[in-house]
Amino acid sequence: MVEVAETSLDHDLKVKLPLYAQAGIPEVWVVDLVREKVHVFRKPQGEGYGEAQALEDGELEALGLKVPVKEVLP
Amino acid sequence: MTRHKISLEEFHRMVEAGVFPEDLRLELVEGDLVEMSPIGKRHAAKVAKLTALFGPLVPQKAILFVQSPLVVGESELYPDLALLKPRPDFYEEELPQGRDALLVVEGAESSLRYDLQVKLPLYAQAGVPEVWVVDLEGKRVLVHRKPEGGGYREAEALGPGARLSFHGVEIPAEELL
Repeated sequence: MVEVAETSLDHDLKVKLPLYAQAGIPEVWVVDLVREKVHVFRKPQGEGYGEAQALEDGELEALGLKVPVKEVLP
Repeated sequence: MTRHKISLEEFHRMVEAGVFPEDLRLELVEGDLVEMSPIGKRHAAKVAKLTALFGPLVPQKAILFVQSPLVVGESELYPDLALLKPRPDFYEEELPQGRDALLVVEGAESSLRYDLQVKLPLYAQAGVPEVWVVDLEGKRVLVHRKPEGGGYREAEALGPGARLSFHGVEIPAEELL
């Protein structure tokens, strides 16, 4: 599940993320275009995620597909 | 009394200023703000299937915009799919306009009349060369080519058994119906 946030970061993190966690979505990426970071959340637990990272570079991986972080940032 | 038509520039300034609630899906249609209805399961699945079918064209032959903005004249529409001319920045510098489009696909569940009477002329005026309107109720794909003024000179209705083709991608019509 990927959300791209330009003005909606607060809403994405405070409102939507808990909903995704409750629904058991295993991994969420929130691309913050303003601060140029990708927030990665894994291990849903109740209303939150057990694992959270903020990446500015490096590589993400989904189903074996490698995605360079820089490619999704402005 | 004169109703104010919102310009594209005003619309963008409103969006940037955070005037609208998050997740409100709006199109700007000739100065009017039009709320888009939620997408049903059949519609969503067809869009997913088309995205997969057109995937091999990306990014060398086309850029694929899914339910993303396309500027047509002073309107900003969010067609289900727009195949755009390739550009290295994926249109990050400037939103794509009608002349950047190669093909637009709209799925119509209950919106067929609106799509044909209001949106199609806007696509034609903006020079979008080909538009497929998928009529999910009527089980046919309405293919429009050769824009001329506010209309398309060529129009065909394809039902099950017919084939659609675009840049080497062959799609049996029933895949979309």
